Amino acid sequence: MEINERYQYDVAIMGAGLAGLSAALTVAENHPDLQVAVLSKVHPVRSHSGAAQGGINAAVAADDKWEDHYYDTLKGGWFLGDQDGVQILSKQAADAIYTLDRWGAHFNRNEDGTFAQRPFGGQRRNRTCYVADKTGHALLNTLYEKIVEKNVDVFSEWFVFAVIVDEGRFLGYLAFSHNTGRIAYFAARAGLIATGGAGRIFGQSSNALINTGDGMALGFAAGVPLKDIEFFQIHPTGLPNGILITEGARGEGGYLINKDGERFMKNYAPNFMELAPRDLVARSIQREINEGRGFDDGCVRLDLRHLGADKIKTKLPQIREIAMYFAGVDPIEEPIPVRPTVHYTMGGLDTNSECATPVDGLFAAGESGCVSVHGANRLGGNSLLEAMVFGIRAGETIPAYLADGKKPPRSNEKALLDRAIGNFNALFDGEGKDDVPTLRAEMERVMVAGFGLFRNEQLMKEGLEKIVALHERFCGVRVHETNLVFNQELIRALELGYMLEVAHACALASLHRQESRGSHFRDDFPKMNNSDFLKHSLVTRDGDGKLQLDYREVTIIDTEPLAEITY
Amino acid sequence: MKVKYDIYRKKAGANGSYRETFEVDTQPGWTLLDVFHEIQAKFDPSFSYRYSCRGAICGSCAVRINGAAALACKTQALPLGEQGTVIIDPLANMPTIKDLVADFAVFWEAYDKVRPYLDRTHDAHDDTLTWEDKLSARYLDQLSRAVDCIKCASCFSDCPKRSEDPNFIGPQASVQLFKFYVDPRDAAHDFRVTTAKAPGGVVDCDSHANCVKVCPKDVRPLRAINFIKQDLKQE
Repeated sequence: MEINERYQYDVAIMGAGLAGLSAALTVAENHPDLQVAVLSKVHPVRSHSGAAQGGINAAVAADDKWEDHYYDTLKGGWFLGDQDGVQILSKQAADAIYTLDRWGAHFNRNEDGTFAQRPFGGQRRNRTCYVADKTGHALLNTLYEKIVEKNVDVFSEWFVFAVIVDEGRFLGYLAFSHNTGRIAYFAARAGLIATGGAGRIFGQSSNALINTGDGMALGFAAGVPLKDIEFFQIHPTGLPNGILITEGARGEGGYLINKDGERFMKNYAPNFMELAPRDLVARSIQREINEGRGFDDGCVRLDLRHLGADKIKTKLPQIREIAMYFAGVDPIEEPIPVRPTVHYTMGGLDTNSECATPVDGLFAAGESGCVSVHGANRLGGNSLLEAMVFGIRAGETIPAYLADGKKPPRSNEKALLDRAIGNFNALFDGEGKDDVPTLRAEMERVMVAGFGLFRNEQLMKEGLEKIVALHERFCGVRVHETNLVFNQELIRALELGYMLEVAHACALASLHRQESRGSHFRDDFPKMNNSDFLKHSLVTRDGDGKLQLDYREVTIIDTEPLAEITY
Repeated sequence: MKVKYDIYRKKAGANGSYRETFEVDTQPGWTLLDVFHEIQAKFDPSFSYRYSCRGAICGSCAVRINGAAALACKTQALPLGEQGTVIIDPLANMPTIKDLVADFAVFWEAYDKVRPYLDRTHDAHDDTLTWEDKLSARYLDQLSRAVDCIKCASCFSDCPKRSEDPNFIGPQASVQLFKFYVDPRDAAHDFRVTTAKAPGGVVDCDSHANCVKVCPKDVRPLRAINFIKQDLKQE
């Protein structure tokens, strides 16, 4: 196969969720002279941002302060968040809400017309703006509407399979179209990766099936370190099949109940109860289940019945629908079976607070990037916010970066493209000893067993060895279908390669973090250890293809990290 | 339980289509999307269909099931299988690219036609605007339904009016138009009215109500359409 087309853009954005679209809109609104392309493997409105239910945090209330949001976010992240990044997140939050409102989002309002806000875990006051329990869906569709208005070039259902970099300088992407099967080279002066998380490396996951870490793996292969990639948030309340029940259900007053009918959170977080941060609630649920106080189906129950039919129907309509269709339970009548489910990738491509990666000209934002603002555990309502704030920010910093008219050197371009196409074609010539569905199922099992809610040396060592072996076996995979039009055999093979890359980095960084912090909890090192591990992990691939692990200090500006996190 | 699935197949670039029956051991709790995954993993890796969230919010996986459009991820397979062979087709009223993958170009063309965005040329930025106060309760329920639309094109596929008149924008674009028609912040109300009245516009709807039946999110496009029709009469 060969390259059929070449496009030239100033900015090429990979991913069309909240981060990618808000970046594109920001460039389009302020710099109509810059040519922007958005590439997405699914139509933009199918992006996983649309699945976010509960809301988006911002200190927009008259009596709230961004400084409080800042502190709650730092503490919720076990002080692993960089304080410069978290400042930007909380300071810019209100503007993000106003921008969304201006673009047409239908936020719920109070009777006086101010933004309605609900309580979310780990925050000391109601700070989460929302559109019923379909906030992400409403915001994503609003952004897409503006994309249509601004006439941004969207390459919908284009799958990126290589990020081209020449000696540390970004040149462009190689991608193929699901609709036509044609391969194109998107040469660009700057690139933004905004492809979301990699939660699908785990078997039990709330993530969309498309959340396979594509951008993370491609950026990593292009030389960007994966930062804090040991931190995967496990959401406390997924249905048995992984589909999420929003934290908003507890925000509206839902109870967590064990099989003895006890609100067990009183034993773990007596002050915050069900609204303690996610990592703490998830581990509490898992302990109840592990210690025999779960129900026979391996779940505890989320009880909404006392909220009454009216409140459930008006505030949590989607939750009711999900519970009815995917668990066969009407929450007005019965409690919902729930158990922890992998939900969010705190780690990602290493960026500074300007969204710039160490690769010149390559930026990252949203869940695929890691500033870091979420530290070791993200607060509910901060993911849509990060996607918006840092999407907009990338939309400002990229034009500034391009302002001097800089163009990348293209002398080695042809050789680099030939090599990338060669690697792509090799997928069709593998030995074919192993098949993708088998390897993928094995990876999902290994990650759940080794890198779940309770980690330890033994489990993680075994897990790492198995992932390395799977990674090697993946090299022998063969794709049989050579027509590229909606070739899902090929897509699933490429996605598995991306996932194994992220899983491998996650396993390595997890094993060497000898402490417990946020989502990373170890039986053998149950305490947070600021003196040795108040630092970011950075996984890179060296010249021989081996993974290397390094660390970097956390940026501290004005807030001394606590020695212990309690709620 | 072994269930037979009679599925529309088409190779990429081919003119003709054919049908293929797969007998799949279907587990309790499986949705039709799970069945598609099983067919792709165990029977034929070249079998194609769209998917993303598998939680009825992204709108990727709509297909026709026993003749009516529905989300594969929101449809339990066993209860269907117990009634006999399950017949699966791609969405109608648009061409098929491959297997169950429909070509949405005509759907998005209709969407684009209504200028599917809030026009705020009048007030560039007014964060004190309490627009909901200006909306009566009867708009609000319907507006919230319009926001719920996931653009899965089930309504578009099964709209008899669209089948006979390819110029008709269809139920989804009508809902999209409605969303801004009732939004007091919108500066393009005249355009909304003109678009609704134009040939192929909202007023051409023949009220078959299939859109209400097949919508997986209970958006009730016909109600939005009737609202605009009524309102235009009063103008």
